[in-house]
Amino acid sequence: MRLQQLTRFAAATGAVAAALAAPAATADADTRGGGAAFGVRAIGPVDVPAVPSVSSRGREANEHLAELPGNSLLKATGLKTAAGAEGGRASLSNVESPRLRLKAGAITATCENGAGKSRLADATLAGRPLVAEARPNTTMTVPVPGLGKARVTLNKQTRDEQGRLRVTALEAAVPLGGERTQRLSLASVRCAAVPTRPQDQNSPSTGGTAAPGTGATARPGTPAHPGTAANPGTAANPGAVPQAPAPRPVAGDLPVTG
Amino acid sequence: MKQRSEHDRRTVPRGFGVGAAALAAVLLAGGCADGGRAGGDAAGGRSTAALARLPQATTSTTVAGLPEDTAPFATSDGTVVHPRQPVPVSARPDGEPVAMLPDKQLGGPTWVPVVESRPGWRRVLLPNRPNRATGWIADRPGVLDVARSTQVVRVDLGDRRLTIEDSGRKVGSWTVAVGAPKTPTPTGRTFILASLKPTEPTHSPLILPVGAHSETLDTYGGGPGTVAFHTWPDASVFGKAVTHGCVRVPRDALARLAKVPLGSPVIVTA
Repeated sequence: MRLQQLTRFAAATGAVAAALAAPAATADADTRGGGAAFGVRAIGPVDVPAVPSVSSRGREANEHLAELPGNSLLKATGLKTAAGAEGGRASLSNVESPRLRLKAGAITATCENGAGKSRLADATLAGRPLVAEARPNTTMTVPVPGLGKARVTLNKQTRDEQGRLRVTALEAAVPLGGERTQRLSLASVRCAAVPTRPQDQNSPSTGGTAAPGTGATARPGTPAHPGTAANPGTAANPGAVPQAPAPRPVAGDLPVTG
Repeated sequence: MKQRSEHDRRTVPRGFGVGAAALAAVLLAGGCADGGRAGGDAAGGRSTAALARLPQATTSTTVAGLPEDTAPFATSDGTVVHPRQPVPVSARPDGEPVAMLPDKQLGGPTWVPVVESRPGWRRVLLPNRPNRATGWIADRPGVLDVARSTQVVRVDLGDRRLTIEDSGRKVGSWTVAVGAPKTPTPTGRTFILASLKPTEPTHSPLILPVGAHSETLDTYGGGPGTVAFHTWPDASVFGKAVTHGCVRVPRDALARLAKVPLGSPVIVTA
């Protein structure tokens, strides 16, 4: 089924054949360094491979589409992706999905120097406004009339096994009845891996992944999270989220369930 | 049940910071839902006295009216939070408080995992009964410390195996003893609640309670039926379903578990 849909989609989009030849799976599975980005990806009853999609370990590479090729799920124009040695950016505009009742004037995601951020402009889902600059991994449940409760993640930020940060401006899972779910990812960028500091390499609590950019899941300078006692922050990155500390055992007795 | 009720009544005023001063600090710091209300009309319209009467979210209490974890086997993004002072817990963002989350649990700092975020709010797993209880706490600068744990503990009851992952990579795996059929280890997502050094370490140098409780035992050994990781003097138990709900682990597993930050997710599957 998925193959048929993908084939139909590909057939209808000869102009983006090159983009389709470089699906996101390639970028995600890429264990080499460098950044990667894609504009749109959909998984479900309507499959749209990651387009436009780009990755690069060196000089900046770009892939643009004036318009998202025809499909029954989503319309968008001005799709732009760029990737280089450190990260990349993705953007699209005039996003509209009557089926999912999703609209956005513009959606962007960037990853630079190990820090990810995203922005939505005039975005709504089922008439409900979506936060323009959400904190990382902000989630919402939005009832979509006729469909069900959509789960939305704004500014989704995750790390892969290589410690590389991926930021996706908007990710949605919309139930379509039964067990069918339509998943949609818009404006997604993967940073390059941040080198591990020598002093972290043998740290048992970090597993060698507590690179300087680990705190990039929080936007530096976010007003809601200035430095705290546990996170005094640094001048270079005052809002960084620190690694949770290993616990210090305290003397105490609690009868537990043996 | 009787024991928990007594505990609730006993601990609410004590754990809340001995009276009005601590409560005033909570309210002045914006611990209430809207932060803009003054005086007694705090935290969703509740008076300070009403807040003081709320149950505490601890391993020894039961709190009704809180939403269940909707993704009990999912991995979170690793965000953990520590309230610097007792904070109100609501069933939904901007909702009326139904409990207070203390800044300490079992003598150590409270760290709980974040399973969902909305602007100004964090949904966290809680240490109280019933299992899989979650609640929303206000995300206020100066009130919540935020950190990130890259570590996850997984317990497969069927395989009787405990695995620790760090950033998605397996760093250790051990055969363990799990709950017996009549006293099973509860499944779902919980978290490392505390690290206790027993005064008389008869069977384990450390006890690592988690946020879950036995579903079949209201109390156990005078405690509230809290599930925990600990070692066991007889290695023949490993690989068997013989406990009252706890997970007995080899010594090297406990040594590695002791390094897992408080609040880190523990995911137990059947």
